[in-house]
Amino acid sequence: MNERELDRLLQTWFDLGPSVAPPRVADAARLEIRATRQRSPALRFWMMATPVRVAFAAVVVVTAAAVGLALLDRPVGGPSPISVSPSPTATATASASASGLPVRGMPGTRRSPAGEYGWTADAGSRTGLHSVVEADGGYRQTQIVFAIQADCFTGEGTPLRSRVVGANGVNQYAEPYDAPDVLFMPEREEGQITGAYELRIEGRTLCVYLTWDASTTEEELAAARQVVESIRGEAHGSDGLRIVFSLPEGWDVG
Amino acid sequence: VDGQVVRRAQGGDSTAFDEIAAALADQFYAVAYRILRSQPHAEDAAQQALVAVWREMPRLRDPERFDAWAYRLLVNAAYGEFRRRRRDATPASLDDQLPETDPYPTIHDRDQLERGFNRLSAPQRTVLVLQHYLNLSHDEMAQVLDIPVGTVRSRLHLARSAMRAALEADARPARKGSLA
Repeated sequence: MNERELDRLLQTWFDLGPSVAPPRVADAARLEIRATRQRSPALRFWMMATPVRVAFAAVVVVTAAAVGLALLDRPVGGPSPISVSPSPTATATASASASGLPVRGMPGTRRSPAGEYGWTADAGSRTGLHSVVEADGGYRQTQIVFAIQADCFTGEGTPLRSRVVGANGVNQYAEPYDAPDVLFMPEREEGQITGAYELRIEGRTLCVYLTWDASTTEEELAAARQVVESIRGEAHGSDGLRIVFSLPEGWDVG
Repeated sequence: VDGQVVRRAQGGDSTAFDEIAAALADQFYAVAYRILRSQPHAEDAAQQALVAVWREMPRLRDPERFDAWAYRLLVNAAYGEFRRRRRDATPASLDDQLPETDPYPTIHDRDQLERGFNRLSAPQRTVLVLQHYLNLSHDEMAQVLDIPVGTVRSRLHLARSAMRAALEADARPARKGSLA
């Protein structure tokens, strides 16, 4: 077999495979980036222009020398000359995580204002919130339950394959999802539907269960889906997660 | 991909990323499939690469070189899936089989190609795909893979030799519809 024959054979063989991705590939990526922070641009020393690099290095050397001299000048073993109390800035930064995602709490127990809320917990934890709208002498509600666990689709007899977005366990969406422990309220009511999301965050899994009533309006459901789409997260501790999300007015933890 | 769209996505604009994902998904998947020879693993690799594009985008210094940079992320994702696939020893699914009606290569050749390709390392597979599917030059391949052109050539040489050996291993008892 000569080189040309091999080239033609390889080219023809490679041309035979699929060339169109299943829609779930892009859909799952779009879903995942909603929970993925972009990296900050790195300051790359060796990529700077030479004059900038020299100036940058000079500033570093001078600063290091100044810090060294100041340390040498300090009295050894004596009391610190100034007692510094926590500044307002220090207090404010105490509510931010080491990697930058702000630490936010869950909304209150009665119709909270719109804003950014959050949750930080270890694996095995779950929590929930809901929005209740009074209508026709009764009420309708939309619920969201967060759970940090390895598998988001453990319910029996759940039609997991019916409407899945994502691939192979990553960023899947299943609807309807029927398991009692994914409800904010203890029992499923007539006509309630749950959509289950599995969001991968830095190698850990956040399960989000969105449940709505038969009478929930399109606008209310769209607003609830926006809450899910607004979730940003990061790893916390050895197996936990920290998330923040945006809520419209009226959500609470009951 | 348009440079303006890349800049918007670099600034965190997720709708701009949606455009990029739509433009890249098919090509990413097609290339990943050809390296991995498995649809589920190719889907995973393509998805991971798209997310990596989003995550790493602020660090792309020259938006005009977006394509080569993005393919590098895809190749890295494919390498990861390749390792995982080897570890899991997942057999190729029935979906991975090529249509029986294609005239070339012959079924016999395809078997030999698959067998030869399966023995290649991920980097060797990748250079073959970049050359024969994306039709990249050696210089372009070096840029995508971030390796010297000489390394590209040596990898290609080894990969092609292995594929030729696989094709010539048998006496070809059923070689019909030859390409010659």
